[in-house]
Amino acid sequence: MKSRGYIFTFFLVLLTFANTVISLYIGPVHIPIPVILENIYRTLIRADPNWTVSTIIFYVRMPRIILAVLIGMILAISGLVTQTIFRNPLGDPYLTGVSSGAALGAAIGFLISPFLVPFLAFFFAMLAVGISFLISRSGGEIRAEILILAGISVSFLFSAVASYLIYLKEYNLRGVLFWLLGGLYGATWSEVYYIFIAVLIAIPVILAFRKELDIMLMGDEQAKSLGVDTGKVKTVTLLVTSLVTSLAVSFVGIIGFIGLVSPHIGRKIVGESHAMLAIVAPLIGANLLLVSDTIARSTPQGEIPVGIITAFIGSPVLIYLLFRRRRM
Amino acid sequence: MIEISGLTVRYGGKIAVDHVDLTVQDGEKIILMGPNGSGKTTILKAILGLVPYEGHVKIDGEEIVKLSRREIARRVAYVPQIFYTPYTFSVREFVSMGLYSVVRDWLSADGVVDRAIMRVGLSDLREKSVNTLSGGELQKAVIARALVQNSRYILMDEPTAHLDIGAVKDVLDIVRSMEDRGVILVSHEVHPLNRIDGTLILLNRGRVVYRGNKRDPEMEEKLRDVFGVRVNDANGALQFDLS
Amino acid sequence: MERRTIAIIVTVVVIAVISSVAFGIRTPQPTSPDKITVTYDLDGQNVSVTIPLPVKRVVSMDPSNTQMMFAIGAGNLVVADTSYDWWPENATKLPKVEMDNGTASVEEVVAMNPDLVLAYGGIQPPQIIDQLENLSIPVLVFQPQNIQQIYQDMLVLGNVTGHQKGAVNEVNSMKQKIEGVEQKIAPYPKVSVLYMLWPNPIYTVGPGSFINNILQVAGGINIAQNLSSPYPIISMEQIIYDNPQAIIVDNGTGINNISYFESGSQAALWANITAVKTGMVMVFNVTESNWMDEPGPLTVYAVITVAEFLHPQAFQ
Repeated sequence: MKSRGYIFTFFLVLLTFANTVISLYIGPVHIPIPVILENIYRTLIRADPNWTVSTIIFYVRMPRIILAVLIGMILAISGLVTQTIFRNPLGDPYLTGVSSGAALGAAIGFLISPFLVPFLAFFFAMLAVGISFLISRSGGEIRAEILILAGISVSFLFSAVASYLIYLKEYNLRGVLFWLLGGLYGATWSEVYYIFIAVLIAIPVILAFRKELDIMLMGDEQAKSLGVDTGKVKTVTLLVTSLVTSLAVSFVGIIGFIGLVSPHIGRKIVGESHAMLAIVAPLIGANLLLVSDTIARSTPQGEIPVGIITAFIGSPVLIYLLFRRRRM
Repeated sequence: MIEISGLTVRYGGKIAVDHVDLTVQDGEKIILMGPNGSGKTTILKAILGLVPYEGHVKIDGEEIVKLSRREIARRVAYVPQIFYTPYTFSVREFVSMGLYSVVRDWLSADGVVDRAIMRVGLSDLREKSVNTLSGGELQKAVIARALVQNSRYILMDEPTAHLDIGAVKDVLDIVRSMEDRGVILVSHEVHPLNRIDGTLILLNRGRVVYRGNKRDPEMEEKLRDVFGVRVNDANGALQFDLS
Repeated sequence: MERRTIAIIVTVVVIAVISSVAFGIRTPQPTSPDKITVTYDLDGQNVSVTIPLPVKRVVSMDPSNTQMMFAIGAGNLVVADTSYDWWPENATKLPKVEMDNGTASVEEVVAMNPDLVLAYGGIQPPQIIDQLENLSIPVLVFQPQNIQQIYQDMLVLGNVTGHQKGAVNEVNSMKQKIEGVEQKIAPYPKVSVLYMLWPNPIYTVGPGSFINNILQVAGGINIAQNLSSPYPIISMEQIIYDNPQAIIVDNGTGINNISYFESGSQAALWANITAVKTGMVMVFNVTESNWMDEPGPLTVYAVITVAEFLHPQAFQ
């Protein structure tokens, strides 16, 4: 299993590179490969490249492609953590209330000024998570069963308020709807920078807890009896992933299925060991989101929200997984 | 030594364990028996610090409330009833989880893991995935994991339940071979009593109703009282008689 | 079959029959001697609506319709309009018939006892239109896709309200003013323009939107005119590629002036676009935005404003 894992990881890294390069070529404006290459060359030797092509390649496509890779990684690692800690195969990055918190923040943002949307989305996402955590703390430890219910209840509440606000100012409906369905349009290098830092923090943190997470798969009681401080593990890992997910959502809206499906695909190939999964799942997520976004921004009708594509890709995978479980 | 005094555990208003006193010396074997709901498993969980309790639980002189998870795990290991393990971890990876509380240097630990696996007789299945093991094999793997913790005491919850008689014998033999460890073995069957030379503590409705290590008529009578079933002594081996 | 089953079946059938009869009953048609049938273009289709005469009470559910009514001289027939109505002054004083989010309440409309209701295609949910028609209240739904259709709609209103003369006069006045503008800008080359409805994602106007037509008439070439819907999203790539000479930003997007395109992370994308480099960026204020968004008599001012922006030399 181990060597299989290493081979697969290597393959995934290669795939990510290939995907990135291919996506650079795809877009609403057709730019032939020789032109792209020439442009990159001229940029490197600072010889006055064609600004149209450079701007499109370096400022429109590249940041968006890299952002897709990074956000895919964040969603996947968050999904992995929730699935393990809640011992729930349907765990996704938004289980703790992130999505509805962010939606509420966005709805408020669209009412006041669209520029405030990312900040408000992040703030309210963390607020929702914080409330869920507070509700489910008992005896200094977070009880997973209660956290799920807390997350759901908080989600209902925040969603209700958000829906009401959206209903009030239907004029902004388009903007809000697009945001809710998720989209990487308008990706800039500064967003890439922040998300890159987030990934640099999140993945090593989860890797640091790989042994604890493996043991926690057996359940809280056994984990504790083996010496694992389950309270600390849950708090730290869930907090970190909620934070980075909130950040991601504040930039690109709510993109579903990537966080849910990537860990499962990873497990099918390399098993449950978190040492492997913490690397493999993010790579799978990166590729899934990158492919989805490339499709989303290049349809003949123009751009459609990427959340729609991820749903199209994710649902068959989910259904397949459910079928497999039934036969078990 | 594990010292329990006045242990009381309540579950939502009901008393599951009622002022129980219990001690386990180094190397001592205690067989904890009683009908369902008598509080046997709850006592184990209290010792492990998994449930809130009233009274005192001390391991080697220290109250467990003052100890961290790791410290507790270093002193007492838990062998739970076999459970659903749909995981692809190998037996070796699974047993290695026991090393979490013990060792920082994972490399030198391999020997410990292999020895424990050999002791429970699973050497051939070292690389097999745990989701492909039979009930008996899984129980042995869990025991090996507990052995690897290198704790002075081991708590076992129904280690022979759901096993075929061959596996039951293997498991009880392993327990017998643990000369240096104190063991509390919870069971509602009578096999452990026959195979292991230890003290029987009988529980009923959260209270200790009998304590003794001689297989004599008094023990048989108490067993019958508690379980409501006749107990026979056939060649020194106790049996529940349903005829 | 046992008796209980029979009882259940009979109850279900009776309920089904009663409900279909109840739904089938409609309020009786008021008999009236005079009717008029108007036919016009709606969203690419020909529609025919029959309206009993005379029309004395009109409820308008959209500012553009209210403006047309007042422009043709039929303003006194309007008994209620919306809270979005801002022109003319008298229109703002009329009773209002909608809820805050812009959809009309059928009850309030009915309470005004109208002979005719004017709606705008795509704004009110179709269920409301259907409900009104079920109550035998005629509804005229307008959705002009270009300036010609605005003229057509005004003439229809003139016919229906008996203000044919007023309608013809207003249409001629508009045509005159617009032709005047077209003549002034004729000698000058057309200017490529991006009309930004929303910045993130970038919504613009495309074929089928009358705003697109306004841009054309005012001497502009809408860079989105070959996209596939009236209000499409345009990719940043295409904007960079098409390099518009002018940018017009709708009111209410949060963008206040050209500095949006010149600062922060937007700068890298927009810096080399001709419109930004030459300062040809206009952000509409509320009034200008209303002229642009509400097809009717005030569209003339929209045309003039855009033409003056795109071809300043023509108006010196």
